Amino acid sequence: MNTYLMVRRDSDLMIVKIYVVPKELPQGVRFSQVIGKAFEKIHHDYSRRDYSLLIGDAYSPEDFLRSFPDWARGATTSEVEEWSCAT
Amino acid sequence: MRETSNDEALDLEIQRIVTEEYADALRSLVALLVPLEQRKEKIDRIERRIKTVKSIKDKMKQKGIGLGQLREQIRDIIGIRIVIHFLSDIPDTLSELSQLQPLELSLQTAEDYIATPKTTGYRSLHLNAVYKPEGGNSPVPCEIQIRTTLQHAWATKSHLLLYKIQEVPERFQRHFRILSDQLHLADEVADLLRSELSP
Repeated sequence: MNTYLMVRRDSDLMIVKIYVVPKELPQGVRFSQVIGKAFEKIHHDYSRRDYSLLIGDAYSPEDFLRSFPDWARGATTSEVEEWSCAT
Repeated sequence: MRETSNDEALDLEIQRIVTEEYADALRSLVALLVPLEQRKEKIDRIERRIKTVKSIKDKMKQKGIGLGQLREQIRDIIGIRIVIHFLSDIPDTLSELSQLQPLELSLQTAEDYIATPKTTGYRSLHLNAVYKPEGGNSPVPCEIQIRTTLQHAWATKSHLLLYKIQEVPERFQRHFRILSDQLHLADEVADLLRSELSP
């Protein structure tokens, strides 16, 4: 089970970027700090007006989208990048 | 222009609340539910998500509430979905969930769309719960949905087939209800087979 951060383009509900959050966070780093930083960094590249950040747990991004089909119409990218948790 | 900046300020405030009050609770719930998730003879999968900022904002508008009422009125900012194999495992799953401290289930407010399906054919059991983090932090509400693999399959198929359609003609609505009823029957047959085959 992994935690995914997915960037969804709201106009067509496509996932344009997927990050996986490491299971073990660096010592002293809380998940809320990771998410706070993620919102900040992601919305720097993807405007808040046009993109949403999806946060959730699943075995794979495909599994996640299958389980929450109302969230997205499918991934446009199969590329999953590890989110750097260094704050 | 002013409206846009107000809107952006609201987005940022919701984002702050989600980050500071809900994100750590989601992570803790992941760990809390691991033992239940490992019961593979019962549980197909457990998945969790945090509602998006936009979706929270839409729900606030729909309910006509402000930020002050958000925590009280929107109980599904954290959503947990438990997909089980057999319909008859619901009571056991509930009992196991109710033993998971510090999670408090509220069975009185449960919405049982399995006993009484929605007119669309949707079937699932919705429960409100409160996660009480250690260290005196504020309790965090969450919604837990329990459904079978077949109910989950119905929900997924319906969404995939219907999401582009604004208004579904009545005859198709009827077909979706029939499909849901047939899958429910299959769930009941599976339960019957299990009880017959169990030693």
